[in-house]
Amino acid sequence: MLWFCAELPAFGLEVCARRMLDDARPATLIEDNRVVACNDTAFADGITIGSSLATAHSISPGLAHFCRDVAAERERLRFLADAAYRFSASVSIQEPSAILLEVDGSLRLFGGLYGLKRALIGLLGELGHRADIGIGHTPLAALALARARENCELPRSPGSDVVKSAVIESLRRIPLQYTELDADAVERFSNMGIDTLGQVLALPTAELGRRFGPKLLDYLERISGQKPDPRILVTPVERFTAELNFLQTISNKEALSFPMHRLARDLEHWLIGRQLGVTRLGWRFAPFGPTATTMEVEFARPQQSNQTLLSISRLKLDAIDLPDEVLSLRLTTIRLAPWQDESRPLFGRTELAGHSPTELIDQFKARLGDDACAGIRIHNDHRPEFAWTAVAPTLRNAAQRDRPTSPSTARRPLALLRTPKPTRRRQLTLLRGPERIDVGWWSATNVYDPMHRDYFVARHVNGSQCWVFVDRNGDWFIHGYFS
Amino acid sequence: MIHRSGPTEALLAHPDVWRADRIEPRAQGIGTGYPTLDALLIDRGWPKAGLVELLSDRVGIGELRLLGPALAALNTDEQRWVAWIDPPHIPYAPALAEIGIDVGKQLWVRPTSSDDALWAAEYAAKSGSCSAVLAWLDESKLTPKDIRRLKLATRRGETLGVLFRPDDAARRQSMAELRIALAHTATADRLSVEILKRRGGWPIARLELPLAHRTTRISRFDLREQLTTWRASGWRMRQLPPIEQSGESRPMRVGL
Repeated sequence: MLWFCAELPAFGLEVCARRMLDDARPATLIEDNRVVACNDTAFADGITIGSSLATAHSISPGLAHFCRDVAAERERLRFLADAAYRFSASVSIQEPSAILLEVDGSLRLFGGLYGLKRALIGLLGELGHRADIGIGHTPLAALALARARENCELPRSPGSDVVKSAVIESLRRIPLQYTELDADAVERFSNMGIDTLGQVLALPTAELGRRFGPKLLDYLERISGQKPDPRILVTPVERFTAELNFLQTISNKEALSFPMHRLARDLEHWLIGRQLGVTRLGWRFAPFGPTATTMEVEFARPQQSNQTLLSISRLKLDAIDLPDEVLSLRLTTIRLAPWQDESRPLFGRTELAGHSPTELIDQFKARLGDDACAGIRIHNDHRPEFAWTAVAPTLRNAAQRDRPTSPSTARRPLALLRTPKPTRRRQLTLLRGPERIDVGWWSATNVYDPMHRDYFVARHVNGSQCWVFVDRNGDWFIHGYFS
Repeated sequence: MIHRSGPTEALLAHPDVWRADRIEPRAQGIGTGYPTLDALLIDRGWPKAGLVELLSDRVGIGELRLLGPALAALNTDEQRWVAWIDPPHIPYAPALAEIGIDVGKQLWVRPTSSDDALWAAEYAAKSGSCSAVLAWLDESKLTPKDIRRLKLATRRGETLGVLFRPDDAARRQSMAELRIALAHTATADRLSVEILKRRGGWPIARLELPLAHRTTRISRFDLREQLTTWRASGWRMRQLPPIEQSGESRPMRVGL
């Protein structure tokens, strides 16, 4: 067993600061009117941990302060666990601010211990979190090492014995405040002159048990691996929902693109973790009040990349009216599909490879409306109006090619009129015909209007070559043009 | 040919002298399927990446059949769309298939406003996902700047852009690299072509092309005979009572 622990030291502030639209603004996290965490800008301004809120505000007038939001932290940690699911199937949450991964089976795929560590830090960094990684043979050892920022020397793909001895060696150096022991016990040890875990482990077990109770012994056995330590593993959620509540209202669409990007990036990582693509997603723009505007975006093919999701969403956004002041933004997935990457040619057309045929359809649908573009197909019916159909556009290859179904001697016009246009016999010179096309009494729509027509190729007096018919009343109509 | 004296000939033979009538064909276009037309075009066909204008007030004189062979070739060679932006009538699938066009690669776009149509044409052209873009745009809203943008888009996306415009557009400036005015001729299945502008050459006046995919291949005598028979039978047909009561040779209507 090999465990990774990602401990997020500034998690509380990072969760709250997601609501800010400007990363460079100084921000602090407040508990009991005292600063408990501050971001880099606030730190550079001279705000120190432990100073009062009033002091902080007088040092830095533009300061944003947040109270800790435990519910939001829990939700975010859950999301991060889902995103980390791509590295391992055994992910577990260690509240308040760590996730644990069992990575024994994933090392080779992600390029060894250090490749995986880099990938995990990279993922969390992209999602806006700084992480310290601890590696251990038990979950608790990994957690303690991550909190203490203690790196043990390990080869790229170590055997379990090597890990165990190296980890225990490192654990011995860890100060007790980084362990899961309660504050009371840590203080009592400190009064006895015992500061590191190594010193505790050196003491006789029976004596320790008598003085500190079975809880301490249990912890020591679990951290060193003498006792199994089963974790509750995360089962990925079936649906992605993320919401951002802004600090100030947003009243123009341009300013919305930043938070939208933030949510779309989260969604991308969630989708990669689940190996899914989204085919329909919903945005919800809510003002202060009950009425929210929702916008649904549909894709012709499952999509993952946040750039695609955003560019199509933006086109759609241009066309809708938003509330005057948007205070919260929510992104949900409505329909998901298994992810399958498109195969691209190995050689050639590389300069255009960034744009796939389905992307064009998505862009058209988003800007022009869902039914603005269509593909056409031949439909096997002898009545001219029904010999074709409009279908959802999908690019087909040569093997699926439609073959002409009409008799080879018949001629059909390239352009068909939606409704036949009345004309006069004397404007026409008949060139070919007749071709009789008869009834459609079996079709419910046509019961009272059976088709009974004699078709001709004719030349109109104005020079165009048209497809005309005469119906049973002797009236002449143009039905198409030989364009 | 004017007989030239020695010094002029020598001067003209100088490699630095450029002569407009001696442009080497580059032979990299899409063959039009009409050898007479190919011979006049610098690319030996429609440009692979460029804008063509076809000018005509009439529908149905053969404007699509002129493009037919080229579209069929594009459909065979390339796995890309052919976008039809706002055509005036339904692109009729059976007929398209008949002249060799792959209907599965046609994308019929129906924008609701002229702005959207222009946007769609430009976007389709520059996306690189279309081998050809055929566009019917609102002439009253079309500015020279728009046409320039369309042309740049076709270059970028390596697309054959074809713009259908009315006759009087010939009087207006255009950046398109090839402008052809189309007109009907005295006989059917022939198209009169006038090249108003082409690269590497002067305009060409009036040229009659026999269209591919003829609609009429029947002798005048046969036609007359058929029509006579039809008139006789047609007369009888109109004398017949409505279908509902005339039972004998028609399928029975059950349960309707």
